[in-house]
Amino acid sequence: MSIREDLKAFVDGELSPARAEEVRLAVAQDPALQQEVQFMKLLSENIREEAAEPEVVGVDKVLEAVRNPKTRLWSWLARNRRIALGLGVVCIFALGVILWPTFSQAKLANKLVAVDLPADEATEQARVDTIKGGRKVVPIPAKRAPAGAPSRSDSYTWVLGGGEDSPKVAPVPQAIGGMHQYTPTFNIESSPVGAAKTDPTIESSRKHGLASSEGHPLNATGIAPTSPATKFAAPPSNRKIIQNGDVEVEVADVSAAQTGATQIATSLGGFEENSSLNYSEDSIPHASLTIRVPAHLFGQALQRIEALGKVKSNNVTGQDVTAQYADTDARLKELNAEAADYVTMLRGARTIGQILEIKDRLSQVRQEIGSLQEQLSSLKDQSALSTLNVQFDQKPKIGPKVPQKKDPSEDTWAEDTYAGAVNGLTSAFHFLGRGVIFLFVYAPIWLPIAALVWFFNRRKKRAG
Amino acid sequence: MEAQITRASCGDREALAEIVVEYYPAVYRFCARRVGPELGQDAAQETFLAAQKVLSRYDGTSTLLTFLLGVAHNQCRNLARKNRMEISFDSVWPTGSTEDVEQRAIDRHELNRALRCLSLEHREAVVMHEIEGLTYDEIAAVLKVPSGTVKSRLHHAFLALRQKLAPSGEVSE
Repeated sequence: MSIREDLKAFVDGELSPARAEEVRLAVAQDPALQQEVQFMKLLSENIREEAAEPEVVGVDKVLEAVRNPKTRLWSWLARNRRIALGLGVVCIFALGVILWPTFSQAKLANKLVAVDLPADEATEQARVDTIKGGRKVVPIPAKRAPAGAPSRSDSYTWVLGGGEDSPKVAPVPQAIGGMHQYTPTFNIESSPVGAAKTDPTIESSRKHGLASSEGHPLNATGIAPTSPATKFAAPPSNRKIIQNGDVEVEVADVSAAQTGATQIATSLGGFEENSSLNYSEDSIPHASLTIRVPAHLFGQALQRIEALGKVKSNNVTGQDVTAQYADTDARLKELNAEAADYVTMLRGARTIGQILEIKDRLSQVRQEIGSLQEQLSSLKDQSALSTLNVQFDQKPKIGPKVPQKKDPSEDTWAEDTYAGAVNGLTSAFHFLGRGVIFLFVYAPIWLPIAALVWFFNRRKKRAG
Repeated sequence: MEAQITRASCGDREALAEIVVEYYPAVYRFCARRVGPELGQDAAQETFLAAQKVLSRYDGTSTLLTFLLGVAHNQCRNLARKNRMEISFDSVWPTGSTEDVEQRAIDRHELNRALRCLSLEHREAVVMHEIEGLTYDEIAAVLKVPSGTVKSRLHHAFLALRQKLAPSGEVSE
């Protein structure tokens, strides 16, 4: 280090004794250095002289603030960091306790929706499950009745699961969402959840006569996956119920499956109502047919059709028309009696006018009787024979891919690269979006912690 | 003073008040030179309130004044940032307010101009050493920089001043 660089420190007396002596000797021998030293001293003196001295004010105010500090919440928290940290943890815990039911119900709702449970039933299901020792038999409306449907018609689908000490179930219609639920009249015996988890479907089927093709295990909520064959049973014989089912099955050969389905219908005393087969080079071979089978064998038919291949989807609905049937029947009896009265009156008629008038009335009554008889016949037919719509899709054949020769003129590397880049960008945006959503949703957890950390860091910096 | 420091760090307000009485002028002037007289009061007050919380960390390796000025330095910076202003030391050397006709070796207006041309770090070092009278080690403790850095800053500050103020303009490095 040169003498000049230490000259200022020498003038200020900030050098070590040895270095100061060294510099002093150098200055003594060099008039230029002496001149610089003199200039530095003069400069320092002038700087001090020119500087304004601030007049000291405000000491009383500071003393007052020191003696009587205002207790501010943040100041108090800053002074009591451990308490603040504890309060923060308690707040987070309380928030978690408050929000937990919401999260758990939403999670359960997602699960139930995933097994084709109607979303508006999810909350009800959650409520049922929270009842300790409660039954796990939950009637679930499968389909809303169409606007033009006959009055007093009840739709039903039901799901069976285990439940400790399940009481016997009595048919109790419940109105949910403007429609009636139907609870079957057969008795449900106790079926502990733990036992049901081992092989619930088989166990359940043995006990309640339910059909099952694949042995679906019960899920965590105690509800079996909704395969109609496993959850559907024949309704009580004294009720008039129209049963309909839709099932989509993936099979190796649609033609053979179609024939098989027809044979199933025939063997059960039913018949094939209509069918179609579509073989096209451009699409997967597809067959569809509608079969009618006796109502009490509906479950069996469904099970056997599902066994033809891999079930892709299924949906079973039921419509209780018992009340409608009874109303129509009663009305028919009344009209028959009325017609008989008119016949009697006709026999006793004296004038042409009376005869014409009575005949006219009798004709109207007979028309109504005919109409009601048709309705009764239709209801009887529909409830006696269930309808099953079956869709067969052919399983795509998996074979070695034959490499296609590319035409050099059709080299699409640029397009492929562009498409890949666009896809990558989209994925990146999706990823970022998911991250933002996660951050937002988890804000109640990390935000208070981040705020506390930020606050204490700020206080620490301020305090120096 | 050690007893007051110990008591003040334990929350004794009277002990802190005694420290305020003793050190307020130096702390206030330090703050006023940086953020002006009005904000200087706030900065000084915040300095003592903050010092009460961090006095327990004072280990006695430096003087209490140095410790307090270190706190004040941070308070001034925070206050300046909060008020969107820059610490410039403009109020240290007021311009054009005096009619001094006395001939000096160094022209005062030239000196003012030269001082304002210094960088903030150099000006800060000059103010702390020449006006506030802090040693190199004390400045280093307040600014939390090595002592050698303070020496270097002062050397270069005076070199720059000499370049601007020397009559001949010939300054050798």
